[in-house]
Amino acid sequence: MTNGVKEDNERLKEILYKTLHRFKNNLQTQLSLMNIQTSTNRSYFDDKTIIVDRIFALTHVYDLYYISNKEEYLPKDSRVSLQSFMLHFFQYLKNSSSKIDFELNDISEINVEVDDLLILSYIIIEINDFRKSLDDDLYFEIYHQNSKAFFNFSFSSIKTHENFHELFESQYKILDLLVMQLKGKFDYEKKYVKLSFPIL
Amino acid sequence: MKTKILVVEDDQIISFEIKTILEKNGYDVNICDSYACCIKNLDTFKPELILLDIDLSKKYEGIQIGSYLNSKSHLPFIYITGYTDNETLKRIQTTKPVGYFSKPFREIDIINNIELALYNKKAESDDNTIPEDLEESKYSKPIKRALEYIDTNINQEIKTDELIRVSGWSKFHFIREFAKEVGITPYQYVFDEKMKLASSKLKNTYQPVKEIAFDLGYRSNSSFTNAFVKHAGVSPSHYRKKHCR
Repeated sequence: MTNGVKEDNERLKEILYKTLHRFKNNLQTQLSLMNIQTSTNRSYFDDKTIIVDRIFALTHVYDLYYISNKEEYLPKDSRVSLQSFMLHFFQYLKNSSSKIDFELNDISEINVEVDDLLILSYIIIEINDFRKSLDDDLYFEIYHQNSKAFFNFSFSSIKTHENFHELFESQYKILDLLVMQLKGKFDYEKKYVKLSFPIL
Repeated sequence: MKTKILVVEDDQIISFEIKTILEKNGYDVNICDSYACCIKNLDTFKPELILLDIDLSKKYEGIQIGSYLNSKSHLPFIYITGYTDNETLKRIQTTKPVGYFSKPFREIDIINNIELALYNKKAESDDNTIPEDLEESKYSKPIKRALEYIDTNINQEIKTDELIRVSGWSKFHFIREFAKEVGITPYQYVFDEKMKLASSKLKNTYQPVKEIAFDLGYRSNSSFTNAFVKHAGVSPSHYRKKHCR
């Protein structure tokens, strides 16, 4: 019995350390993004909403993480469902604007690392800010193929997305860093921009 | 000439921010995101100071680099970490960093740490008049290369064939020369080095035995335990109980 209590205490300590570590790392990322915004002269259409959206994404990812691992004392799997996250996250974005729409195709079985999901949500937030600056409609299509996830997005007022990078070139640094962190890449097609990244 | 700083951090956002801060403060900066890249940059970039993320690749790879720098070079290094628990601090102390700063950090934290480290390094080298490379002639170059390889890869499984390849000698010649110069066989040397490190970790840290086994390149807890019993005469946990302060 005494051994059992001791083990429980050790586990609780481990959970506490891990949570504290994640907390600090996520705070660091938020601070770094704000500092990079200043140093690269990234001018957002709506600064305040960017911060609020990032905090929502952070909260929502960890809500899902703990809900999906509630049976376990110390969650070992650091992945959560891509579909669950995206459904809620896009719904949240849609609550602020009807000019954003999305389609999820066959991703119900896909789980993604918590850290990657966060980066992905920060990318969507960046793209959504571009939408606001264009006062445009934005459409996302999300699917997977083999071991990759794909996010195709398009703006209704842009005739050809092949020049999308040039359009926002001076505002692209944060987006580039986020995509690098995700080990993903952008492909610029006529009808849309395709973001792909590996899923394990 | 600008002071060269190598930043070893696998988070692109954080490494970019550190690079921006350092460049703004007049440093020449290179970024690495892995152990291999860091080791390569020691020769190519020749940094004067290294900033090292502890949790590289999510497996404490930063501490392995710290161990390597501590034993193989006189380069000062500073850890960047989100971990501030006693266990991790004890672990990093064994690698003798010149400092560490905790996430989330501010510009002033980074710059103060770096300036202090560089000042101490300079003061130390001004005082240090001991002639370098006293041990230069102790080993032949091929044996030195093999010893360096062992030191760099102590956290992995080290095969004698690989040591032979690094030395550039034939198998027979290498084993004979190694025993002549070092006093023991390559296999015994690797074994002793791993056990020395294991003993130090067991004594000075609270790192779980299975983690130490993994850090030293053992594929299972039981193979590490068997090896340790052969070396110390007692199991790792028994050894820890006996020597724990």
